[in-house]
Amino acid sequence: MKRRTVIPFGPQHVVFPEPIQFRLILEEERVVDAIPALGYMHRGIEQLATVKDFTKTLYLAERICGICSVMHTLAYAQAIEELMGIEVPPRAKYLRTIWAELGRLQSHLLWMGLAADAIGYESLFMQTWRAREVVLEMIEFTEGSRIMTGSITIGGTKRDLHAESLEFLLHKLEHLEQALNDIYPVFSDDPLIKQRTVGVGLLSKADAIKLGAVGPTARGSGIAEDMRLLGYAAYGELDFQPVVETSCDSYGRMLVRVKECFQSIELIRKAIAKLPPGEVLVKVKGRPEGEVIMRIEQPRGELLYYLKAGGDKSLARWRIRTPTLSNLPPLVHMVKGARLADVPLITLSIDTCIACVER
Amino acid sequence: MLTNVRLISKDDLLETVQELARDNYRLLSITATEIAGGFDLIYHFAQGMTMLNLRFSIGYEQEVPSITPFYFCAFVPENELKDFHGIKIANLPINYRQLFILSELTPVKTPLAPRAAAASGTEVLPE
Amino acid sequence: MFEMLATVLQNLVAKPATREYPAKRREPFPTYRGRIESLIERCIFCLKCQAACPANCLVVNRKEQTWSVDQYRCIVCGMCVEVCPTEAIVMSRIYHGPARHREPIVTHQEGPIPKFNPRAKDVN
Ligand code: SF4
Ligand code: SF4
Repeated sequence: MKRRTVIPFGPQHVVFPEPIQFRLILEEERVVDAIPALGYMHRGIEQLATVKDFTKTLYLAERICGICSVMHTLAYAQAIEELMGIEVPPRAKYLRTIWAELGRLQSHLLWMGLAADAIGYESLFMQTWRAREVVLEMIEFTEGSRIMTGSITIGGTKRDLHAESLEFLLHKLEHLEQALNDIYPVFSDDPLIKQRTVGVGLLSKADAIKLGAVGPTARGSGIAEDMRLLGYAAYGELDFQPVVETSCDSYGRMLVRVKECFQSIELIRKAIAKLPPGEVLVKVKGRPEGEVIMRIEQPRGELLYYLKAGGDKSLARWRIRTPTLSNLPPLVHMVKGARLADVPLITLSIDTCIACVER
Repeated sequence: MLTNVRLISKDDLLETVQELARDNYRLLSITATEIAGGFDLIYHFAQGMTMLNLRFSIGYEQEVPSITPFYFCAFVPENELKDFHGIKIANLPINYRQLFILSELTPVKTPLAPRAAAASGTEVLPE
Repeated sequence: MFEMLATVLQNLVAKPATREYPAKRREPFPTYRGRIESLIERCIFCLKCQAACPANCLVVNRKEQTWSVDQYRCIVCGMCVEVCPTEAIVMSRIYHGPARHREPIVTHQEGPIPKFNPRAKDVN
């Protein structure tokens, strides 16, 4: 038997913005096994929700993750609305869709920048984040804050978009599309990027199903699964097809994300064109009661909420299954057999969000 | 609302899960909720967009068989059940011994099962 | 191979895309949610804001007529602004800057507590 070495990868590592550890078991250069070690930033959000007022928990949901903050509020608000039987005005549904897509754009652009940085492509990293700044400006202009936007609330949205903001959005979207058109060929064709990603971190379609991969990780392996097809918010009325790649490697997962940026721009344009007039908020009275499961497509994949409420002012149980938690077993599978030097990029290719994992 | 629920008993779990694994269902997660005298467990599966939920309840002292042999990814939620609720899982191949997310230094051992903790008289939840 | 080259060369001669931050600042957008400020002379000390705050950062003392906010705990959600019956809390457009110590900002009201007049609030 060859000699085995155990290398701790993380919790502080340059590719991780957040702490997680992988104990990598190596045979020479090859990884033969990986053991994830979590628990560096557990915050007990699920438990806190059982003592906090359910309207205040909305803000707690937003703070599960900084990057997907809009999606978490969206999921929570929709779950509570379903429990209480509230019908959200159509305009609010469209606004939620626009904001959710803006959130997806900034998250994907963030990831693209980080990936370029991990590969060592500094100028691409800066170019991507320059494009992201345009998105953040859109978010700030329409929602009032850049990251923790707090614009979605139970019963609708807190803000409305006026003609001026819509014009601003359309104008900026054009800028963004131009910037993305410049960036896209670099991600798809650059030999440097291809060398680091093609054939690295393989995850076959059968494995992806068995290991429960979600989001871009699953779509990069040829599974056409996108929770937006469930038609929550206004997605049911906007015609779109999930982006699927069949190369099953890091390259495929990367292309899914880059192409989804264009898809998001299209979706925002469609939503703005179809935006119905009317109210954006209905009054909410009473307390939630019952059980509900809410599934939503986050930038990183499928988010699953299970809510149980017994008619009290706080929830009885709030189970949060975030996409990265689901993508951890595929990741463990992917790094097996990889070279040590590829591990950072493979880890990045599922877009880890550790704050989500530990809640 | 909670739809597509199939009520099963604890003894049928392994058999049902084996069938689902054969039919290419994905395991989404496992949820436990503390109810009077035990736990209510829901196993969330999905095939494409449609969900299937297996549901049963157990007492505090009962053991649940591990489904990790059929679904490798089940080790994550099963270790969470151990951590947060103190549910006993039989034959768990990847066992973090209640140190998956919580650590030895965590003052509360099973934070999402306060009644179980109070009943055993060891840990009491802080305010 | 050279997809980035044109962009790189362009950036070499173009003016920088970033700002020299403390010297040059971008005006926040008119819709920006900045830190919250109190118009204490309007406050009737009904404690509604304290109850509504999800971050528990407001402390209102009716007896001493003080209203204090911990700006480093505030999540700028705007709940307090929404619930206040007399519009005694406003959101400014500037964000709260850094400080050496984390201390709540206390505002004190002089004179008698004003009577609540429901018509003072806009009916929009
Ligand atoms: S803005 Fe929100 S967090 Fe800040 S004081 Fe008001 S209610 Fe509290
Ligand atoms: S809600 Fe307004 S009036 Fe009431 S205590 Fe707060 S600031 Fe004063």
